[in-house]
Amino acid sequence: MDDLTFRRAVLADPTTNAPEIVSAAQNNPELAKFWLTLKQQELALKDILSVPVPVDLADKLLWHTQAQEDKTEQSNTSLQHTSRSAPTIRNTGAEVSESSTKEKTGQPWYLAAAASIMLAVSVFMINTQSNDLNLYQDALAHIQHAAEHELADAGEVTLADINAKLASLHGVLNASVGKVLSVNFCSLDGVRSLHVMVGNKENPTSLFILPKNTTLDGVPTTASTAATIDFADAKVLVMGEVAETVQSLKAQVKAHLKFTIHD
Amino acid sequence: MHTKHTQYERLVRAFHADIYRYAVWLIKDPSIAEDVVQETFLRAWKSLDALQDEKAAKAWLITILRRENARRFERKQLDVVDIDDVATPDPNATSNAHAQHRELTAAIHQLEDEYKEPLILQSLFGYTGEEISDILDLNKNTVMTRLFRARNQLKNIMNPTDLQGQANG
Repeated sequence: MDDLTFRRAVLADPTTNAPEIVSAAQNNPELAKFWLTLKQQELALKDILSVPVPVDLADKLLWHTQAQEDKTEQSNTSLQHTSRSAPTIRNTGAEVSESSTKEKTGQPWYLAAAASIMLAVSVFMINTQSNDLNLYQDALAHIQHAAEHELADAGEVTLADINAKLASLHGVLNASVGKVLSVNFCSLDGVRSLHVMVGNKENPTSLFILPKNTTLDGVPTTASTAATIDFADAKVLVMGEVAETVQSLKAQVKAHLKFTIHD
Repeated sequence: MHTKHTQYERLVRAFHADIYRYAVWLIKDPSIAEDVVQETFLRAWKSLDALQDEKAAKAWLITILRRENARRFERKQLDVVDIDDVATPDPNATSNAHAQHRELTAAIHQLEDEYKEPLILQSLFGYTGEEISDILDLNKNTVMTRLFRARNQLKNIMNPTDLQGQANG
């Protein structure tokens, strides 16, 4: 092998183990030295190219995707509502009545809650608590999305899975709070939240773990199907269909969810 | 849907670091690189069904990243910043002890993208010439020539006195 071919080959791939390259280097100290220099440079190159990666980048990426997906889902849902309501207006009274009955029977609780909230929006929008209401509506949308798309095939979620995600919020759950169906980051009115669904697939209860500066004053907790917990380093919103389950989960979360700084 | 979420989360956790590193070297500005990585993974989520072979996932993500970066330039065509003016990330800035590393970092940034990309793919990810040719849509000989030229340029930048007797490209 001539020098030029050797140099071109090792410059193209210093880590090569091609027998003719090894043999040429063994027979020519100058080529061996050239190759060694390149190998050293390659190690330095590899080291330099491995720039540090932001520690929470993976969670950020997952959250960003979830937020974008939720946005798309919500705009699709409102488009569907618009297109569904149009023919209803043109229907006769009897048809409207039949259609309404169909929608009401077997309607999940979160849809009923969402409908009530929609009615209340116009009143609440005047108040300064409208942001809290947006957040609550987003929470309902997330619950609806998860119930329709994620829970059917949900596998087992372990305490370790939850704690892996809670770690980025400096939180830890030191005991089980029931069977966990899903745990995902999501965005509630632009606020990053960890959404944990607990219970059974037909009647799940949701936890949203939020930053401590989130205001939840406008969340309608009077119906007992929603509750809030104030930790020193976080806020938690609990939502479900059955008041007892919501209150029971609230008590368990209060007892077992800890934050590394204060609670 | 749950399967798709699981597959996607696995993809993000397995490849976000490599894709971010590739973006940083390609784009130079870490914050812009992070934005492009976000768009890359969002597009990957939307097209996840197109990923037939998980073994090809990294190469697939790199291809998406390169397209997203090209789109960024199309969008910002009238507002292009000279990349030489953008602050260069120096991964060893905290140590200040490795002058050679700093020189090598600067030397990498001096390379044209057509030389830098195959070099990163080979040195950082360990791709073979054939794999790089697939990712960059080039023939293998072109890839090997670019790799050879890239390292030759690095060597010449680092050791200008070694120019005599080196391979010509």
